[in-house]
Amino acid sequence: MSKFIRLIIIILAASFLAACAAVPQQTFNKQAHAKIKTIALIQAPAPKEYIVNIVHHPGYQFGLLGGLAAAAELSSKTERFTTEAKKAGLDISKEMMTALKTEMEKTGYQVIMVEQAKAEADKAERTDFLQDYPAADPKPDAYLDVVFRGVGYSAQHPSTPYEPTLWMPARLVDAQSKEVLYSTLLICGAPNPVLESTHVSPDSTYNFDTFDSLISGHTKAAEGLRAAAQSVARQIAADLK
Amino acid sequence: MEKFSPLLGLGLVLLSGCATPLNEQLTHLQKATVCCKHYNEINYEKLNLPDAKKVEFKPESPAFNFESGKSFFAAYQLPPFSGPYNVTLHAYPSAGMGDSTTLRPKILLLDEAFNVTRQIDESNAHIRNSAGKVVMDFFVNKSDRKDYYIILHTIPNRENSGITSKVYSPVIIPIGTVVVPIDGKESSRTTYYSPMGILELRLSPYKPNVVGQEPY
Repeated sequence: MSKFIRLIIIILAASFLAACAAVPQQTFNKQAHAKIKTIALIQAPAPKEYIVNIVHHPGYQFGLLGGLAAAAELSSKTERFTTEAKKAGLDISKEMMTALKTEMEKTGYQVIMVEQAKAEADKAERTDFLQDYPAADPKPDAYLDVVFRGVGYSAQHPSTPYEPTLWMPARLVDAQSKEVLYSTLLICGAPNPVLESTHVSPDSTYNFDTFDSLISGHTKAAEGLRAAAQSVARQIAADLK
Repeated sequence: MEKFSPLLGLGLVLLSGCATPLNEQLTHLQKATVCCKHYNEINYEKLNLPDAKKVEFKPESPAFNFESGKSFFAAYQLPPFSGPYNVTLHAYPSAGMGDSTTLRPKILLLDEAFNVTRQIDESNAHIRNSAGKVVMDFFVNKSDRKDYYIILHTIPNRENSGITSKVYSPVIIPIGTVVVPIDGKESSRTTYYSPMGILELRLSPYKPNVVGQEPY
């Protein structure tokens, strides 16, 4: 096997494993942590691309070559959709942070936005939680750490609709004790059959029957992802109520 | 403590493959003898902390006329309060030759004098999904120390209600000796709420993990 093919396999395997890593589940015990009033919201790194995925792509059934062909097709679709979504002005990180701030404030928390340092933002895409949390002013009682682990449109099969999909691990960490007070994987879109998650139903009015209609309707598609971000933000705020 | 391994979880799902069709389950519930009229006549099994119990609602299980309707049930005495703890309930789906069904659990918490202190269901518990099962959890905190008994039962199925979800049926073609899915069709499927099935109840002291020390 050539080094190139081996490298491709390693990259594909690493991407799938990263997307499928389980998130420890911890329900928030509001009463035990009534002192938490001020939350530092860590800016989620913007995803480098908006994915287009076909979960059961027939190519996966044809060994390595079929898998590579499927990966190439989905990569090309992802690249095209990313361009169109960005043209439509989609910045999902910004949308999510705004939605989270709004929803958390509605729940009664004071929210401090902690922007990611540019050097950090320039690093490879972060899909997991931070291990150390930056200082914030005023001093927060807890940090809300959210990351994108896949945002875009996903179809189960080539002939089934593409629906808005947003995977977001989220956790709340006590600023003093570093205890994880809340932790879950929020999935807006088709629930994962294996991973334990908090499911958020996507709005089916933003489904697209074909990839072509997704591209031609990119403004509506971007709106669908904004709506998904808002639904996920509402769920996080409800979980922390 | 009785521990629940993933293997046991898988076993429960496999066992539930021999599910009784929904209409038979409803008949079993209808015919079931109501054990008692009042909560103080029920036998409560003592729980420890931590603890885990597997509960199967079957035709021989005790039944009671709850406010929400007749249901099979399981009843326990909570451990003495020594600090906050977490109560988690796992409801397993079952899919046999008949309909796919799942329990729609409801939890009653009673004080020592058998007065209802809290009612927990999907509207006020945190709900998660995992491999087809529904996980709901809540806490017993200092302010809930009056909670003394816990009763698990189900919300009756009215008008064939359930959880509707999309299912994808693959279109397959044989190529030589290999069967290859080339596409799929999307349709809706309802997992009906049923009176019989398997629940797991777990109690564990509330102790959040520290960053970097999570279990996985």
